[in-house]
Amino acid sequence: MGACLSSAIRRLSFLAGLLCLWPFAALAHSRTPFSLVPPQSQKPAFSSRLEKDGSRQESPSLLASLHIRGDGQIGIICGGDHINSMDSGGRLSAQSALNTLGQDNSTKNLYFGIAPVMQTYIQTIYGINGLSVPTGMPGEPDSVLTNPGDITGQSQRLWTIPTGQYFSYVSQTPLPDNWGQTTASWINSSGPDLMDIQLKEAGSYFKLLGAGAAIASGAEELLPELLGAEASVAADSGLIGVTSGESSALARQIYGIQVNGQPAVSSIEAFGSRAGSTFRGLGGPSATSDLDIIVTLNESAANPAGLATVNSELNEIGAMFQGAKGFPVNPIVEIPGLPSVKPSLLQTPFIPLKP
Amino acid sequence: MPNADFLLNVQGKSADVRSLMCHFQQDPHPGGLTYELTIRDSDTIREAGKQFGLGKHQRLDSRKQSSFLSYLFPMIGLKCGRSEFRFWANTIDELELSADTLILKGVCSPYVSA
Repeated sequence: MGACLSSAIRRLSFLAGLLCLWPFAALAHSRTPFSLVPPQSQKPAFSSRLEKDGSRQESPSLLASLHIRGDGQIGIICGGDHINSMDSGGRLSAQSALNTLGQDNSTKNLYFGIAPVMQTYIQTIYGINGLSVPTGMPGEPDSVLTNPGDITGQSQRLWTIPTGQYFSYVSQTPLPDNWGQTTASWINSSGPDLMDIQLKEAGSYFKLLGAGAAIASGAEELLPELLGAEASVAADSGLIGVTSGESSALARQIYGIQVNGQPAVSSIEAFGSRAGSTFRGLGGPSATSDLDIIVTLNESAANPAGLATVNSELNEIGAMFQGAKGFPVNPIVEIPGLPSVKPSLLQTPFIPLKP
Repeated sequence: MPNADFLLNVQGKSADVRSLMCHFQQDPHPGGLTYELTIRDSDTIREAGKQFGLGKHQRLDSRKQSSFLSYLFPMIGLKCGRSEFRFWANTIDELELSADTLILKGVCSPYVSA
Protein backbone atom coordinates (compact mmCIF):
# COMPACT_ATOMS: atom_id res chain seq x y z
CA MET A 1 0.00 0.00 0.00
CA GLY A 2 2.87 2.33 0.90
CA ALA A 3 4.65 1.66 -2.38
CA CYS A 4 1.41 2.13 -4.20
CA LEU A 5 0.81 5.47 -2.51
CA SER A 6 4.37 6.59 -3.19
CA SER A 7 4.02 5.68 -6.83
CA ALA A 8 0.75 7.50 -7.05
CA ILE A 9 2.26 10.63 -5.49
CA ARG A 10 5.10 10.57 -8.02
CA ARG A 11 2.66 10.26 -10.84
CA LEU A 12 0.47 12.96 -9.44
CA SER A 13 3.44 15.19 -8.87
CA PHE A 14 4.30 14.80 -12.54
CA LEU A 15 0.74 15.47 -13.56
CA ALA A 16 0.48 18.43 -11.25
CA GLY A 17 3.49 19.95 -12.90
CA LEU A 18 2.09 19.04 -16.24
CA LEU A 19 -1.30 20.55 -15.62
CA CYS A 20 -0.29 23.45 -13.40
CA LEU A 21 -2.64 22.31 -10.67
CA TRP A 22 -0.98 24.47 -8.09
CA PRO A 23 -2.64 23.12 -4.93
CA PHE A 24 -1.60 19.65 -5.78
CA ALA A 25 1.84 20.68 -6.88
CA ALA A 26 2.32 22.25 -3.49
CA LEU A 27 1.34 18.99 -1.84
CA ALA A 28 4.08 17.25 -3.72
CA HIS A 29 6.56 19.96 -2.62
CA SER A 30 8.25 20.25 -5.97
CA ARG A 31 7.43 19.77 -9.56
CA THR A 32 9.01 16.72 -11.05
CA PRO A 33 11.31 17.98 -13.78
CA PHE A 34 10.65 16.57 -17.16
CA SER A 35 11.76 17.27 -20.64
CA LEU A 36 9.35 17.45 -23.46
CA VAL A 37 10.65 16.82 -26.93
CA PRO A 38 8.82 19.26 -29.19
CA PRO A 39 6.81 17.40 -31.78
CA GLN A 40 7.38 17.87 -35.48
CA SER A 41 4.07 19.56 -35.91
CA GLN A 42 3.30 22.75 -34.10
CA LYS A 43 -0.04 21.52 -32.91
CA PRO A 44 -0.62 20.99 -29.21
CA ALA A 45 1.59 18.19 -27.98
CA PHE A 46 -1.02 16.83 -25.67
CA SER A 47 -4.62 17.79 -25.23
CA SER A 48 -7.73 16.47 -23.71
CA ARG A 49 -11.32 17.48 -23.21
CA LEU A 50 -13.36 16.59 -20.14
CA GLU A 51 -17.07 16.28 -20.65
CA LYS A 52 -19.70 17.21 -18.08
CA ASP A 53 -20.51 13.58 -17.56
CA GLY A 54 -16.94 12.89 -16.55
CA SER A 55 -15.90 11.15 -19.73
CA ARG A 56 -12.86 12.35 -21.60
CA GLN A 57 -11.98 12.63 -25.25
CA GLU A 58 -8.81 12.75 -27.32
CA SER A 59 -6.38 11.94 -24.58
CA PRO A 60 -3.27 9.88 -25.20
CA SER A 61 -2.18 7.48 -22.51
CA LEU A 62 -2.73 9.13 -19.20
CA LEU A 63 -1.59 6.64 -16.64
CA ALA A 64 -2.62 8.18 -13.40
CA SER A 65 -6.07 7.78 -12.04
CA LEU A 66 -6.93 11.25 -10.92
CA HIS A 67 -10.21 12.57 -9.73
CA ILE A 68 -10.73 16.25 -9.21
CA ARG A 69 -13.67 16.75 -6.93
CA GLY A 70 -16.02 19.68 -6.94
CA ASP A 71 -14.57 20.93 -3.68
CA GLY A 72 -11.20 21.40 -5.31
CA GLN A 73 -9.63 18.41 -3.57
CA ILE A 74 -8.15 15.64 -5.58
CA GLY A 75 -8.79 12.01 -5.02
CA ILE A 76 -6.50 9.18 -6.01
CA ILE A 77 -7.67 5.89 -7.28
CA CYS A 78 -4.94 3.33 -7.01
CA GLY A 79 -5.52 -0.22 -8.02
CA GLY A 80 -8.93 -1.65 -7.22
CA ASP A 81 -11.61 -2.24 -9.75
CA HIS A 82 -10.95 -0.08 -12.77
CA ILE A 83 -14.00 -1.35 -14.51
CA ASN A 84 -16.66 -0.65 -11.99
CA SER A 85 -15.13 2.11 -9.90
CA MET A 86 -16.42 5.65 -10.19
CA ASP A 87 -13.57 6.46 -12.58
CA SER A 88 -13.63 3.29 -14.55
CA GLY A 89 -10.72 2.59 -16.79
CA GLY A 90 -8.46 4.76 -14.69
CA ARG A 91 -9.42 7.73 -16.76
CA LEU A 92 -9.50 11.23 -15.51
CA SER A 93 -12.83 12.72 -14.67
CA ALA A 94 -13.35 16.19 -13.43
CA GLN A 95 -15.73 18.57 -11.99
CA SER A 96 -14.65 22.11 -12.49
CA ALA A 97 -11.50 23.02 -10.64
CA LEU A 98 -12.53 26.58 -11.21
CA ASN A 99 -15.59 26.36 -8.96
CA THR A 100 -16.11 29.23 -6.62
CA LEU A 101 -17.19 28.86 -3.04
CA GLY A 102 -20.89 28.14 -2.80
CA GLN A 103 -21.09 26.81 -6.32
CA ASP A 104 -19.46 23.51 -5.66
CA ASN A 105 -21.93 21.46 -7.57
CA SER A 106 -21.64 23.28 -10.86
CA THR A 107 -19.94 21.31 -13.58
CA LYS A 108 -18.17 22.61 -16.63
CA ASN A 109 -16.12 21.05 -19.41
CA LEU A 110 -12.37 21.50 -19.04
CA TYR A 111 -9.72 21.50 -21.69
CA PHE A 112 -6.16 20.88 -20.75
CA GLY A 113 -2.90 19.98 -22.44
CA ILE A 114 0.48 21.23 -23.58
CA ALA A 115 0.78 23.76 -26.37
CA PRO A 116 3.46 25.92 -27.95
CA VAL A 117 4.14 29.32 -26.46
CA MET A 118 3.47 31.91 -29.13
CA GLN A 119 4.90 35.35 -29.64
CA THR A 120 3.79 38.21 -31.82
CA TYR A 121 6.10 40.37 -33.86
CA ILE A 122 5.39 43.44 -35.94
CA GLN A 123 7.37 43.58 -39.17
CA THR A 124 7.58 46.71 -41.29
CA ILE A 125 7.89 46.48 -45.06
CA TYR A 126 9.19 49.60 -46.77
CA GLY A 127 8.67 50.51 -50.41
CA ILE A 128 11.96 51.92 -51.64
CA ASN A 129 12.63 52.82 -55.24
CA GLY A 130 10.13 50.30 -56.51
CA LEU A 131 11.32 47.51 -54.24
CA SER A 132 9.88 46.13 -51.03
CA VAL A 133 12.33 45.79 -48.16
CA PRO A 134 11.15 44.05 -45.00
CA THR A 135 12.71 44.45 -41.59
CA GLY A 136 14.26 41.28 -40.24
CA MET A 137 12.34 38.67 -38.34
CA PRO A 138 13.35 38.01 -34.72
CA GLY A 139 17.01 37.07 -34.62
CA GLU A 140 17.80 38.61 -37.99
CA PRO A 141 19.45 41.94 -38.69
CA ASP A 142 17.17 44.64 -40.02
CA SER A 143 17.61 46.01 -43.50
CA VAL A 144 19.71 49.16 -43.50
CA LEU A 145 17.96 52.27 -44.75
CA THR A 146 20.43 54.90 -45.82
CA ASN A 147 18.05 57.51 -47.14
CA PRO A 148 14.62 57.82 -45.50
CA GLY A 149 13.60 60.13 -48.33
CA ASP A 150 13.56 57.14 -50.69
CA ILE A 151 10.73 55.49 -48.80
CA THR A 152 7.58 55.66 -50.92
CA GLY A 153 5.33 53.60 -48.74
CA GLN A 154 5.25 51.22 -45.85
CA SER A 155 3.04 48.64 -44.27
CA GLN A 156 3.14 46.54 -41.17
CA ARG A 157 2.44 42.93 -40.71
CA LEU A 158 1.64 41.13 -37.49
CA TRP A 159 3.35 37.78 -37.21
CA THR A 160 2.35 35.14 -34.70
CA ILE A 161 5.06 32.56 -34.42
CA PRO A 162 5.90 29.70 -32.06
CA THR A 163 8.82 30.32 -29.75
CA GLY A 164 9.88 26.70 -29.44
CA GLN A 165 8.80 26.60 -25.81
CA TYR A 166 5.71 24.89 -24.45
CA PHE A 167 3.24 25.51 -21.65
CA SER A 168 0.59 23.48 -19.95
CA TYR A 169 -2.93 24.80 -19.66
CA VAL A 170 -6.31 24.15 -18.12
CA SER A 171 -9.13 26.12 -19.67
CA GLN A 172 -12.87 26.18 -20.02
CA THR A 173 -12.46 26.90 -23.71
CA PRO A 174 -10.33 25.02 -26.23
CA LEU A 175 -7.35 26.65 -27.92
CA PRO A 176 -8.03 27.97 -31.41
CA ASP A 177 -7.58 25.40 -34.17
CA ASN A 178 -4.60 27.27 -35.61
CA TRP A 179 -2.80 27.61 -32.30
CA GLY A 180 0.88 26.84 -32.76
CA GLN A 181 0.92 27.74 -36.43
CA THR A 182 2.79 30.65 -37.96
CA THR A 183 0.39 33.27 -39.24
CA ALA A 184 0.74 36.75 -40.65
CA SER A 185 -1.80 39.49 -41.19
CA TRP A 186 -1.57 43.05 -42.39
CA ILE A 187 -2.02 45.89 -39.98
CA ASN A 188 -1.94 48.85 -42.33
CA SER A 189 -0.27 50.04 -45.50
CA SER A 190 0.40 53.26 -47.33
CA GLY A 191 1.86 54.31 -50.64
CA PRO A 192 0.98 53.03 -54.12
CA ASP A 193 4.39 51.57 -54.89
CA LEU A 194 4.32 48.95 -52.22
CA MET A 195 0.88 47.69 -53.05
CA ASP A 196 1.79 47.57 -56.73
CA ILE A 197 4.81 45.49 -55.91
CA GLN A 198 2.76 43.14 -53.80
CA LEU A 199 0.29 42.61 -56.61
CA LYS A 200 2.94 42.18 -59.26
CA GLU A 201 4.84 39.64 -57.26
CA ALA A 202 1.87 37.59 -56.09
CA GLY A 203 2.65 33.94 -56.37
CA SER A 204 6.38 34.45 -56.13
CA TYR A 205 8.50 34.34 -53.03
CA PHE A 206 6.88 37.64 -52.18
CA LYS A 207 3.78 35.64 -51.38
CA LEU A 208 4.85 36.43 -47.85
CA LEU A 209 3.42 39.84 -48.56
CA GLY A 210 0.01 38.49 -49.52
CA ALA A 211 -2.48 40.74 -47.75
CA GLY A 212 -4.10 39.06 -44.80
CA ALA A 213 -2.74 35.70 -45.77
CA ALA A 214 -2.47 32.99 -43.22
CA ILE A 215 0.61 31.05 -44.16
CA ALA A 216 0.29 28.13 -41.85
CA SER A 217 1.00 25.62 -44.56
CA GLY A 218 4.39 26.02 -46.15
CA ALA A 219 5.67 28.08 -43.23
CA GLU A 220 8.53 25.66 -42.79
CA GLU A 221 9.83 26.66 -46.21
CA LEU A 222 9.36 30.34 -45.67
CA LEU A 223 10.79 30.62 -42.20
CA PRO A 224 13.25 27.77 -41.80
CA GLU A 225 15.29 29.68 -39.25
CA LEU A 226 12.26 29.84 -37.01
CA LEU A 227 10.91 26.40 -37.55
CA GLY A 228 13.91 24.14 -37.47
CA ALA A 229 16.50 22.61 -39.68
CA GLU A 230 16.27 22.81 -43.42
CA ALA A 231 14.71 19.87 -45.15
CA SER A 232 17.36 18.07 -47.14
CA VAL A 233 14.98 17.21 -49.93
CA ALA A 234 15.07 19.23 -53.11
CA ALA A 235 11.92 21.19 -53.84
CA ASP A 236 10.22 21.25 -57.24
CA SER A 237 12.83 23.79 -58.35
CA GLY A 238 15.54 21.19 -57.88
CA LEU A 239 16.93 23.38 -55.11
CA ILE A 240 16.81 22.57 -51.42
CA GLY A 241 14.65 25.04 -49.54
CA VAL A 242 13.67 27.03 -52.63
CA THR A 243 10.41 26.42 -54.44
CA SER A 244 10.05 26.77 -58.19
CA GLY A 245 8.01 29.93 -57.66
CA GLU A 246 10.73 31.47 -55.54
CA SER A 247 13.41 30.35 -57.98
CA SER A 248 11.47 31.87 -60.89
CA ALA A 249 10.90 35.13 -59.05
CA LEU A 250 14.58 35.39 -58.27
CA ALA A 251 15.48 34.66 -61.88
CA ARG A 252 13.03 37.30 -63.13
CA GLN A 253 14.58 39.89 -60.86
CA ILE A 254 18.13 39.09 -61.94
CA TYR A 255 17.33 38.80 -65.64
CA GLY A 256 15.66 42.19 -65.27
CA ILE A 257 18.96 43.91 -64.49
CA GLN A 258 19.88 46.34 -67.23
CA VAL A 259 23.03 48.26 -68.08
CA ASN A 260 22.53 51.20 -70.43
CA GLY A 261 19.08 49.94 -71.28
CA GLN A 262 20.30 46.50 -72.30
CA PRO A 263 19.76 43.22 -70.44
CA ALA A 264 22.90 42.59 -68.43
CA VAL A 265 22.52 38.88 -67.69
CA SER A 266 22.67 35.98 -70.09
CA SER A 267 22.35 33.03 -67.70
CA ILE A 268 21.86 32.12 -64.05
CA GLU A 269 22.75 28.77 -62.52
CA ALA A 270 22.57 27.61 -58.94
CA PHE A 271 25.27 25.44 -57.45
CA GLY A 272 26.55 24.50 -54.00
CA SER A 273 24.75 22.92 -51.08
CA ARG A 274 21.26 24.05 -52.08
CA ALA A 275 21.79 22.53 -55.50
CA GLY A 276 22.87 19.24 -53.94
CA SER A 277 26.63 19.68 -53.68
CA THR A 278 28.48 17.16 -51.59
CA PHE A 279 31.70 19.16 -51.54
CA ARG A 280 31.59 19.95 -47.85
CA GLY A 281 30.38 16.50 -46.91
CA LEU A 282 27.73 17.87 -44.57
CA GLY A 283 24.81 15.98 -46.04
CA GLY A 284 22.96 19.08 -47.17
CA PRO A 285 22.54 22.75 -46.40
CA SER A 286 21.74 24.18 -43.00
CA ALA A 287 18.73 26.41 -42.50
CA THR A 288 20.84 29.49 -43.11
CA SER A 289 23.08 28.18 -45.89
CA ASP A 290 23.25 30.65 -48.74
CA LEU A 291 22.02 30.06 -52.26
CA ASP A 292 25.11 30.06 -54.49
CA ILE A 293 24.51 31.22 -58.05
CA ILE A 294 26.62 31.91 -61.12
CA VAL A 295 25.43 34.98 -62.99
CA THR A 296 26.93 35.23 -66.45
CA LEU A 297 26.91 38.68 -67.99
CA ASN A 298 26.22 39.76 -71.51
CA GLU A 299 29.14 41.33 -73.34
CA SER A 300 27.53 44.76 -73.13
CA ALA A 301 27.63 44.70 -69.32
CA ALA A 302 31.17 43.35 -69.02
CA ASN A 303 32.91 46.61 -68.18
CA PRO A 304 33.76 48.39 -64.91
CA ALA A 305 30.66 50.56 -64.87
CA GLY A 306 28.48 47.60 -65.83
CA LEU A 307 29.97 45.49 -63.05
CA ALA A 308 29.22 48.22 -60.51
CA THR A 309 25.62 48.46 -61.68
CA VAL A 310 25.11 44.70 -61.68
CA ASN A 311 26.69 44.42 -58.23
CA SER A 312 24.41 47.08 -56.83
CA GLU A 313 21.30 45.46 -58.32
CA LEU A 314 22.31 42.02 -57.10
CA ASN A 315 22.68 43.51 -53.63
CA GLU A 316 19.14 44.82 -53.63
CA ILE A 317 17.70 41.60 -54.98
CA GLY A 318 19.73 39.60 -52.47
CA ALA A 319 18.47 41.73 -49.61
CA MET A 320 14.87 41.15 -50.62
CA PHE A 321 15.42 37.45 -51.05
CA GLN A 322 17.08 37.18 -47.67
CA GLY A 323 14.28 39.18 -46.09
CA ALA A 324 11.74 36.74 -47.44
CA LYS A 325 13.66 33.49 -47.12
CA GLY A 326 16.02 34.01 -44.22
CA PHE A 327 19.15 33.06 -46.11
CA PRO A 328 21.28 35.02 -48.57
CA VAL A 329 22.03 34.72 -52.25
CA ASN A 330 25.76 34.49 -52.90
CA PRO A 331 26.59 35.27 -56.53
CA ILE A 332 29.66 34.60 -58.64
CA VAL A 333 29.62 36.96 -61.61
CA GLU A 334 31.09 35.52 -64.79
CA ILE A 335 32.54 37.56 -67.63
CA PRO A 336 31.99 36.22 -71.15
CA GLY A 337 35.18 35.33 -72.95
CA LEU A 338 37.12 34.38 -69.82
CA PRO A 339 37.67 30.77 -68.75
CA SER A 340 34.63 29.63 -66.81
CA VAL A 341 34.78 29.06 -63.08
CA LYS A 342 32.49 26.06 -63.35
CA PRO A 343 35.17 23.38 -63.88
CA SER A 344 36.69 24.50 -60.58
CA LEU A 345 33.45 24.06 -58.65
CA LEU A 346 33.62 20.45 -57.60
CA GLN A 347 31.03 17.89 -56.65
CA THR A 348 28.10 20.13 -57.45
CA PRO A 349 25.27 20.09 -59.94
CA PHE A 350 24.49 23.30 -61.82
CA ILE A 351 20.80 24.06 -61.93
CA PRO A 352 19.58 26.78 -64.31
CA LEU A 353 17.26 29.36 -62.78
CA LYS A 354 14.46 30.08 -65.21
CA PRO A 355 11.98 32.97 -65.03
CA MET B 1 48.60 39.77 -68.19
CA PRO B 2 49.86 40.55 -64.66
CA ASN B 3 48.70 43.91 -63.48
CA ALA B 4 50.59 46.02 -60.93
CA ASP B 5 47.28 47.50 -59.80
CA PHE B 6 46.36 44.17 -58.18
CA LEU B 7 49.02 42.63 -55.95
CA LEU B 8 48.30 39.42 -54.09
CA ASN B 9 50.10 37.88 -51.15
CA VAL B 10 49.10 34.53 -49.68
CA GLN B 11 50.68 33.54 -46.38
CA GLY B 12 53.03 36.50 -46.85
CA LYS B 13 54.29 35.32 -50.23
CA SER B 14 53.58 36.91 -53.58
CA ALA B 15 51.06 35.06 -55.73
CA ASP B 16 49.46 35.57 -59.15
CA VAL B 17 46.21 37.50 -58.64
CA ARG B 18 44.78 35.80 -61.74
CA SER B 19 44.76 32.57 -59.77
CA LEU B 20 42.51 34.07 -57.10
CA MET B 21 38.86 33.12 -57.02
CA CYS B 22 36.66 35.27 -54.76
CA HIS B 23 33.56 33.78 -53.16
CA PHE B 24 32.34 34.56 -49.66
CA GLN B 25 32.06 31.76 -47.15
CA GLN B 26 31.00 32.47 -43.59
CA ASP B 27 32.76 29.31 -42.56
CA PRO B 28 35.67 28.96 -45.00
CA HIS B 29 36.17 25.46 -46.29
CA PRO B 30 38.85 24.26 -46.13
CA GLY B 31 40.27 27.68 -45.20
CA GLY B 32 43.58 27.73 -43.38
CA LEU B 33 45.35 30.47 -45.36
CA THR B 34 45.42 34.24 -45.18
CA TYR B 35 45.66 36.65 -48.08
CA GLU B 36 46.41 40.31 -48.56
CA LEU B 37 45.31 42.01 -51.74
CA THR B 38 46.62 45.50 -52.51
CA ILE B 39 44.64 47.31 -55.20
CA ARG B 40 45.44 50.59 -56.88
CA ASP B 41 42.93 50.29 -59.70
CA SER B 42 40.80 53.44 -59.80
CA ASP B 43 37.53 51.69 -60.74
CA THR B 44 37.80 49.28 -57.84
CA ILE B 45 38.80 52.04 -55.42
CA ARG B 46 35.81 54.11 -56.51
CA GLU B 47 33.47 51.21 -55.89
CA ALA B 48 35.04 50.47 -52.52
CA GLY B 49 34.58 54.12 -51.64
CA LYS B 50 30.87 53.86 -52.45
CA GLN B 51 30.40 50.68 -50.46
CA PHE B 52 32.61 51.33 -47.46
CA GLY B 53 34.12 54.83 -47.40
CA LEU B 54 37.67 55.80 -46.55
CA GLY B 55 39.43 54.32 -43.55
CA LYS B 56 40.02 50.95 -41.97
CA HIS B 57 37.03 48.66 -41.63
CA GLN B 58 36.87 45.47 -39.60
CA ARG B 59 34.11 43.08 -38.59
CA LEU B 60 32.25 43.79 -41.79
CA ASP B 61 28.71 42.54 -42.19
CA SER B 62 28.68 39.23 -44.07
CA ARG B 63 26.45 40.66 -46.79
CA LYS B 64 28.97 43.43 -47.47
CA GLN B 65 31.83 40.94 -47.60
CA SER B 66 29.89 38.74 -49.99
CA SER B 67 28.91 41.66 -52.18
CA PHE B 68 32.39 43.10 -52.53
CA LEU B 69 33.99 39.73 -53.21
CA SER B 70 31.29 39.15 -55.81
CA TYR B 71 32.24 42.46 -57.43
CA LEU B 72 35.98 41.90 -57.13
CA PHE B 73 36.14 38.55 -58.88
CA PRO B 74 34.91 39.68 -62.30
CA MET B 75 36.80 42.97 -61.92
CA ILE B 76 40.08 41.08 -61.53
CA GLY B 77 39.10 39.03 -64.56
CA LEU B 78 38.42 42.17 -66.58
CA LYS B 79 41.60 43.95 -65.58
CA CYS B 80 44.07 41.07 -65.28
CA GLY B 81 42.63 38.04 -67.01
CA ARG B 82 42.34 34.63 -65.45
CA SER B 83 44.58 31.63 -64.91
CA GLU B 84 44.16 28.33 -63.17
CA PHE B 85 42.70 28.90 -59.72
CA ARG B 86 44.97 28.22 -56.79
CA PHE B 87 43.30 30.20 -54.01
CA TRP B 88 39.77 31.15 -52.99
CA ALA B 89 39.31 34.39 -51.05
CA ASN B 90 36.52 33.55 -48.61
CA THR B 91 36.29 36.50 -46.22
CA ILE B 92 37.22 40.14 -45.87
CA ASP B 93 38.38 40.47 -42.30
CA GLU B 94 39.87 43.90 -42.79
CA LEU B 95 39.50 46.53 -45.49
CA GLU B 96 41.58 49.69 -45.55
CA LEU B 97 40.84 52.34 -48.11
CA SER B 98 42.76 55.50 -48.83
CA ALA B 99 42.45 57.84 -51.80
CA ASP B 100 44.60 55.67 -54.03
CA THR B 101 45.02 52.30 -52.35
CA LEU B 102 42.70 49.57 -51.18
CA ILE B 103 44.06 46.78 -48.99
CA LEU B 104 41.99 43.71 -48.27
CA LYS B 105 42.92 41.03 -45.74
CA GLY B 106 41.08 37.84 -44.99
CA VAL B 107 40.94 34.08 -45.01
CA CYS B 108 41.42 32.10 -48.17
CA SER B 109 41.33 28.44 -49.06
CA PRO B 110 43.73 26.52 -51.23
CA TYR B 111 42.14 25.11 -54.34
CA VAL B 112 41.22 21.49 -53.67
CA SER B 113 41.21 19.19 -56.64
CA ALA B 114 38.80 16.29 -56.90
